[in-house]
Amino acid sequence: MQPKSLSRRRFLQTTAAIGASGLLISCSSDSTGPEWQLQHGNMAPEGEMDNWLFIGTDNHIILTTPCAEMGQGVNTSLAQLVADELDANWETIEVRQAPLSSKFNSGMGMQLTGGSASIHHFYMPMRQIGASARQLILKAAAAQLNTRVDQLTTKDSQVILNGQAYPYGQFAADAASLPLPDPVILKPDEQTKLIGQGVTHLDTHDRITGQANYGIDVQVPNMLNATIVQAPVFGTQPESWNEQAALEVTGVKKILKIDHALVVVANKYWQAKKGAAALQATFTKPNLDKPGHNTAEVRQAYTEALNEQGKAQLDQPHIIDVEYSVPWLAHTTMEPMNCTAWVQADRVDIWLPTQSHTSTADAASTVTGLDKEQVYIHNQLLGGAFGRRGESDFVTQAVTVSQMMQQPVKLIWSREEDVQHDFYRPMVISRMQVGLDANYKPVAWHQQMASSSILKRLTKSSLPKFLNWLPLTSFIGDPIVSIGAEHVPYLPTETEPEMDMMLVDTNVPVGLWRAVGHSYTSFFIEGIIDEAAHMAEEDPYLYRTKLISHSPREKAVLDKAAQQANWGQAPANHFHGIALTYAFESYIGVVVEISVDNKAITVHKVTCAVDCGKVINPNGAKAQIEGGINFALSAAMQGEITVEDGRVQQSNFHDYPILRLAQAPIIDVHLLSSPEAPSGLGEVSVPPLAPALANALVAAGQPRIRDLPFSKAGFYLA
Amino acid sequence: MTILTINGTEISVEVDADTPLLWAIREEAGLTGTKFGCGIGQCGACTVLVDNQPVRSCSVPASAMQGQAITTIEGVASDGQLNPVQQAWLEWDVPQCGYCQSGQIMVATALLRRAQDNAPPSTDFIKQQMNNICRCGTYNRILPAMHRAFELAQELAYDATEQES
Repeated sequence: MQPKSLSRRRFLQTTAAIGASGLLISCSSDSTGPEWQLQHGNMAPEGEMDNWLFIGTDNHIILTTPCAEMGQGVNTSLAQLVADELDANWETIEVRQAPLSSKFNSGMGMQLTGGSASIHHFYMPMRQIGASARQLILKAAAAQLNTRVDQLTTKDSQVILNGQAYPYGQFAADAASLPLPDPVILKPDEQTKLIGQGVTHLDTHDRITGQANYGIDVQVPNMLNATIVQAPVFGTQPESWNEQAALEVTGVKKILKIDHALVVVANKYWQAKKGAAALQATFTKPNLDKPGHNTAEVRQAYTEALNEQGKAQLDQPHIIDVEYSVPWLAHTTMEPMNCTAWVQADRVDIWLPTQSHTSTADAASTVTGLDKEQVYIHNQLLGGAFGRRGESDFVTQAVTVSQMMQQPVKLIWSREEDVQHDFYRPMVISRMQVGLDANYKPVAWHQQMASSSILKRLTKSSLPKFLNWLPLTSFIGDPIVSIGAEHVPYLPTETEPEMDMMLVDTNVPVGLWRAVGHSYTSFFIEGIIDEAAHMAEEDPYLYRTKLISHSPREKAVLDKAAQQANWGQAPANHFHGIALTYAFESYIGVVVEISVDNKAITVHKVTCAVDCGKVINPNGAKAQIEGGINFALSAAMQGEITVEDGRVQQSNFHDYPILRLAQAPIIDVHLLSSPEAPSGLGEVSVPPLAPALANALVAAGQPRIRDLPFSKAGFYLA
Repeated sequence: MTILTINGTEISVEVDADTPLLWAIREEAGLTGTKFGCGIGQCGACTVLVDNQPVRSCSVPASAMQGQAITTIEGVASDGQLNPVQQAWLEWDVPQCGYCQSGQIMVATALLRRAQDNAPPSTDFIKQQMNNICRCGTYNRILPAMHRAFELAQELAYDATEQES
């Protein structure tokens, strides 16, 4: 994989007017492709926020990062890249969140943080921004100090000449008038200091002292607070409500009927919440033309689609013919959905936690009719995201309410609304027929997968209206839903897995959940391979490793995980299960060690070996792997959204339980050193946990779990 | 009118009697470090100390808190000096999104106060007491950070004794 790079031919040789404020380096991606162009100038960052790096004449260095900080530590890693090349003082560099500007578009052509793509996309641009700023500063310093660049060194935001240190700020204004360096020379690996160093996250101090600002903490003068009551059955509308009773609650100002919901606007949140309870709202009867009255009905619709498709007829000596399935899952970010909006005649300001400036701006523009140039997004820290905050339903609502109230309004959802009005990880049923040859090697792989489509909704909302009729998913399927199914490393290299995708329209909204399709396609593949190993009466690790000798990076992570976990030598009454995942261009091998007492599972240890190319911040990288394992363990054991009478039955953490400390295993993470370009990390440890756990359970003499979560079969975490 | 004592400062708040302490702290006192997570006392993101005991502030009315010493995340560091729990959290770089960490730190701080006079808290004891939800899954750092916080607290106590003698 080639890292995205600044294209040299597209460098702008701009020579900006000299100003007193400092040096700005900016950079923007072409909306049509993955090339970034570098620009520079000398305006102050307050005047022109859509710049990436600012070095003030007062030596204040500000990095505006293109990514949303949702706990994945991206602000820190991006700052490491810039600061290393710039030789900036790590203690004083300031990091800001980007405003709305296409300059900050990711390689996906949108201003969106997701797909574990941030470091992959911005690795080279960030380094080149830092390096070009340093080269400009050096050139300006040489002129001012009447010397040659090769006489100068740099350290901690200072130029050093003959032992004398001069702060960068002294040269920032002059540097802004010089042409951009061509070529930009990056440090050779052995000279980098911050890149590859496990640093503490820049925002940790704020996060442990209560000073970090999340979307829900925003205060805008003259602001009202609101909460929402959404029609519990998707697609229905409020029918009747006791407006008077709600208005009698102290502080309640207004009851608004918006699409699919009622909004209670008050001075304070708690007043709005009380008002919402007083509404005693009823809703229109569901008239569902799609499956969605209950979970069983949707499963039945899937099954009918699968039956219609039929199975592959195989003639190998040994055949595995099984069905796997996974449930809907909610995101339940710790910070409930919220958005603060202020619609004025000529602009709309939005303060929120979002993964997507693009979808936020689209929503605001659609509601108000204002141009996107009139939309101002003030992104805050995100209290978790996991894909949920790429959506803009809460933006549409807050902007609508602010427009109706002609005042700034903060909309906060209750946890119940959050659980019952998510865009869920799809429920999926997968049938697999796998043919093994006489030596029990897999040689034919057929899969029929039934799900509802994520892509259909996303394309409908992002396509120009005149293209909305396009039945896109009927001819391209849904690669978000099926992602991962196409990669079965255990097959002979000339054999491709066959996969048929049955997309069934249902009434339950589905969306992007951490690791998207990988969160179950790995469960299917690694379960089947384990079944094949058992059929062959071989050790599941050795069976796998023999089959993947042609894929050295996959073999390396599998071997490393097995070795570090002491595979085959589990303590008495402990059992190992193994799984391998390739996702987001990274590789992970996982060994789970469990013991089982009747139906109580104790997960003692999870050993992970990861190859994600070059690692920028090993501390942050390990945190992402650890977090992904716990996230996946929670889902595998007890995560399940069900529907009855058209509505989600779960409502809060008492019936949608999340893993707690007492249940969390020891997680041992090994990052393989790799010369490859950085690849995705924030989601890669989610997929292999469930299959490794299911495989461990079989090793413990228990039945094979093919239908998640484990709680359906009566198992629970001790 | 309810008078609350938050982090040693008395403030009077104008709230309905049933307003949870959480919302008085966030919206009346303007201290937003205490977080809203579930509203039903399940997740612990809203944990504060009331007379040194951890309390889920979403589930107690502010009006019942008069005369009691309420400590929020903003009040645990003194003179800019992180408390031992915060210091340990920093050393282990515990937070990911960080949204739950105010609550985690408040529970840990209370637990530490109880443990300080006795033996170091056992892993089992910590697992039993630290029941707050972290959706990012930082548990693997919370546990060692908790042990480290005890060490730091012991060192502080030792230093204080040395100074006195």
